[in-house]
Amino acid sequence: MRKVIYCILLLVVVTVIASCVPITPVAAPQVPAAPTAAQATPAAQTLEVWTHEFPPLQDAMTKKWIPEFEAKHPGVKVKMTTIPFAGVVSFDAKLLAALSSGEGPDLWDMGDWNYKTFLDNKFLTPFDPTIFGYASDQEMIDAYVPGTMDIFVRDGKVYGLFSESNTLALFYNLDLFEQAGVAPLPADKPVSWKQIEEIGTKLRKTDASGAPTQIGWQFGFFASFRSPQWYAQNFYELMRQYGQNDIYVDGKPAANTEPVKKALQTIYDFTHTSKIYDPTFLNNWFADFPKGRVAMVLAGTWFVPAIKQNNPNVRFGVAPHPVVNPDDKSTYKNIQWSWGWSVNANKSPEQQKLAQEFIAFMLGKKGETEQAAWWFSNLGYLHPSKAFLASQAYKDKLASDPWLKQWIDAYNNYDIQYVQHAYDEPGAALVRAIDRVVYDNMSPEDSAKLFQSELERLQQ
Amino acid sequence: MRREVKYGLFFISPSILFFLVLWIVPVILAVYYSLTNWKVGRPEKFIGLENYTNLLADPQFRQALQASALITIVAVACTLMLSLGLAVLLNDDKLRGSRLFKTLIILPVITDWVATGLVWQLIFLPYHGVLAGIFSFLGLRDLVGLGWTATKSLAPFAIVLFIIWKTTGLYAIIFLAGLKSVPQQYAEAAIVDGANAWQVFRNITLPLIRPITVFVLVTSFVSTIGLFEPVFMLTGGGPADATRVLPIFLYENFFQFRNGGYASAAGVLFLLLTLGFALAAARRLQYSYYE
Amino acid sequence: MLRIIKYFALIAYSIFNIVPFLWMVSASFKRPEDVLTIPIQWIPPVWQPGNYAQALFEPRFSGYSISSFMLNSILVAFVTSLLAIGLSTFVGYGFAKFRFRGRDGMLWGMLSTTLLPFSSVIIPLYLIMRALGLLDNLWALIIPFALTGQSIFLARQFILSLPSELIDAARIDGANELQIFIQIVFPLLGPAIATLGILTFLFSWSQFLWPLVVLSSQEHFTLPLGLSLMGLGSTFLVDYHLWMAAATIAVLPPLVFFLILERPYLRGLETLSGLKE
Repeated sequence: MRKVIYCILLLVVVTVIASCVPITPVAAPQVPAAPTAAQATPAAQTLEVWTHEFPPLQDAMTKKWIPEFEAKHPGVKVKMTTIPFAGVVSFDAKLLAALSSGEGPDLWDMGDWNYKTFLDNKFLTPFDPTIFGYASDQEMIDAYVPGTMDIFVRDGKVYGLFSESNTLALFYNLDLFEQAGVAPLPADKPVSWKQIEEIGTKLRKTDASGAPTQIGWQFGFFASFRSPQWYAQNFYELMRQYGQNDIYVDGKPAANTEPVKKALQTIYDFTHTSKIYDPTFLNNWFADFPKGRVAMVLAGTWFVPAIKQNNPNVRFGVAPHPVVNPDDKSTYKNIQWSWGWSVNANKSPEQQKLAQEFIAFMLGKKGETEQAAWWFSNLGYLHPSKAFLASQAYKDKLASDPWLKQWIDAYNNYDIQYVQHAYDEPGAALVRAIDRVVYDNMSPEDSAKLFQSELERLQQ
Repeated sequence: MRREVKYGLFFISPSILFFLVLWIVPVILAVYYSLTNWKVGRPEKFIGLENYTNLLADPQFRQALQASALITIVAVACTLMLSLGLAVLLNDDKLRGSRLFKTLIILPVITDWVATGLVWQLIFLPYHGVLAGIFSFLGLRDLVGLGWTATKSLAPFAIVLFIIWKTTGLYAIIFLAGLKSVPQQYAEAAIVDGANAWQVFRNITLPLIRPITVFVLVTSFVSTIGLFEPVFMLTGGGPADATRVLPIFLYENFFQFRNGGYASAAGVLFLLLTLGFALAAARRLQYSYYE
Repeated sequence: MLRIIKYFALIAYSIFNIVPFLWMVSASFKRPEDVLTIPIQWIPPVWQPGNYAQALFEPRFSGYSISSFMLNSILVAFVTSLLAIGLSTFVGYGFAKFRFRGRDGMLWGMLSTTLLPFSSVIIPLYLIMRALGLLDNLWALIIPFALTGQSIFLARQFILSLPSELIDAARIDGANELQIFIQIVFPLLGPAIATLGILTFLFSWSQFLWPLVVLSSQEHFTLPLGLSLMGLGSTFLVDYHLWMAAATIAVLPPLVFFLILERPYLRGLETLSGLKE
């Protein structure tokens, strides 16, 4: 009996100590609501925001946008939840599970690949253009570069607004290049994948025991992260450059085709033939590249703030996205993806309105460019807003970071499209096909055949 | 008499409620949805046994069964033998430090899978992890670069090793208690008759602890086949689905692909599989020992 | 000779068991660059005990920290244990000291649910929690484990051994059944309470899959779930030293409770495996 009492005492002590620790989000300062006689007392409202895990994004929210919004709206509290992006527990799955049961946050950011499903299921609130300062939906759509908003628009109404818009370019570590005696890559013409292999071979280093200490190339989020999105992106850009747009052609599975096999072959070669990619090598994008463990990666504009966070002196160059044949413009294909802010259709009208006000606050209303400038400057998040792209802030940023021009040029020189399958079952089959090539050392021929049969099964 | 019945039922009533809501209803729900084509977010339609036929023909499900079978059978076999061996070693009144040994042996058992999983991730890290360091220290240079969790043939064994480390202690303690409860006279008589230690163990001790052995076998099988955490922490189901065991298959199909009906059918099959094994083994349990 | 082999084997296995923990603690005191070195440095070249404060209190999970997860875990484990103690003894009393038709069948049925892997019923259980509106609520973590076949069986075994004369005497004195349970039976259940407490606490503390399924906001995350936000494949940040510090922190409460309640724990194991009558 005595022991039970000791336990209870211990529990009480631990609980008391633990409860002295603030468990409320540190970033929510207490704003004393001081309603004046002329001002109606604002009802206490809480906004729940979900974001995918990306440390610069979390910092942006907790250090700037949430405190500033709360300061301007006394009585409003914004609660943010961050959910890991990839792995078995994925942000998308959590979001979908919550929304399917009528729950979920008030607003969140999500990848473009979700919009079709979410719209089909009526999870999203159509934005009220007046909250954003526009007179009509069309005016809101026209405020952005033509075509970019398509992913967020259905039946003329807008259901999402850019958190970021991305395509890929080639980053390379200047220090590693210089050490290996490789000249910096041309900024106006892409190199071929073969050239990448040659360069990568020169950049591979091992130590006395044979352990790789430096590798030439790193695919996005393969080993550690297992992100279907990145598997798909790295694959689709290859498949498209080899001449096929999607793994389905005319609605039928088309996995046992030459372009697919060639794409898998490139991945195979990188891993097993030239060995410029090592799937077991420590895989942490934001550390490996700046710390000189990896020489080349494909990434977006957000890569720079992320790697500079802990390595402010990293020296890098940016080159156009590699292509199959630099002299054949038809192989200049690239992929794009966007993240959009959207609002939960299942919440009360007041919540939905407040959520949109928060989004308008973060992204800027009609004509405002300071928000987009801030996002671009601090996170490398690009909002393809016409006003922003014409602004002085944008021009200044381009002048100070000339490598940003690669992204402008990309939209001019490459055929850029969204990826059709990533997180769904065909996407999972694609991941398996690539895994077989990378981890099982299976020939691209055989893997493509299996891939085809899996896609055919799914169609039944 | 009636009073006893009335109050008996009164006292056990919470359990009736619990089991109804937490076991009976879920199983019924699982069976119900397994017979429909329910995709989360859409209304369902009855399709009979189609999910089951699809499952049995699905190479992904078969792969999940294979991965589960491999990991479970190897882990359970090793754990069983190891824990019994440890119990035999500990079953010695003259052993010094037995309290310390017992505590050290059960240490992994009382911690949680995730905290220890974080450590084992770093143990298995090629070139830089703890195992790599140990191999390097032993001069086994070739093994230093092994990608335990990134190689299709090694990953299941990495998981098995983690599971053995984490669970053997529990069964060792149970076996120990079992060994201690065996009446000594039979063993002593056999020794007097000239039997050696191994013969005593094989012909007297083992049969006497059979109920315990069956208990350990069934419990470890059921708990191992249902393990999600070690796989999640070490491999996430890869590489190339080598470790994509049934719990992960279930979870992905429901929470990621939203195949409600399909995942429910897989859950029912999973249940039947383990129930079948458990009942078959439990039949050998002497009924009287639960009295 | 045999003795030496015995000791050697036991020591070898004990080392196998404890090395991961030793490495974990050692890494938890290191600077980031010292954690993964070959050859392994068991003694940190530079001690950094500040790792613990950072791991525990840094609000790196959108404003929440390991300490907030720990608080949730403690709360949930504590409440679950209390409920389990109360409910299991209540129900176990019914199974132990009363006779009615189907009694043993029902007990056997409830106990046999422990033969089923929990992960096979998470989907329908999730749906039930959703229907009850308990998603993303700590109660969803407490309720399913507040009464289990094992806990009922444990309580029943213990109560069986209580002399029935006390109960009969109280009945003759005119006490009603509830009074008998609360005032006579329950106070005698000290050891059973300890056993139920430690077993339920450890079980609840280590839950991962179920919280993963029902919780979505980090405000409610329990410690294993929070820990899973660290680690390879879960995060961009490779602060191994903090992971190890957090893991060490997570290992301490169950270890402490176990050391205090080791006897009841072992006794519980023996009862469940049918060894103790």
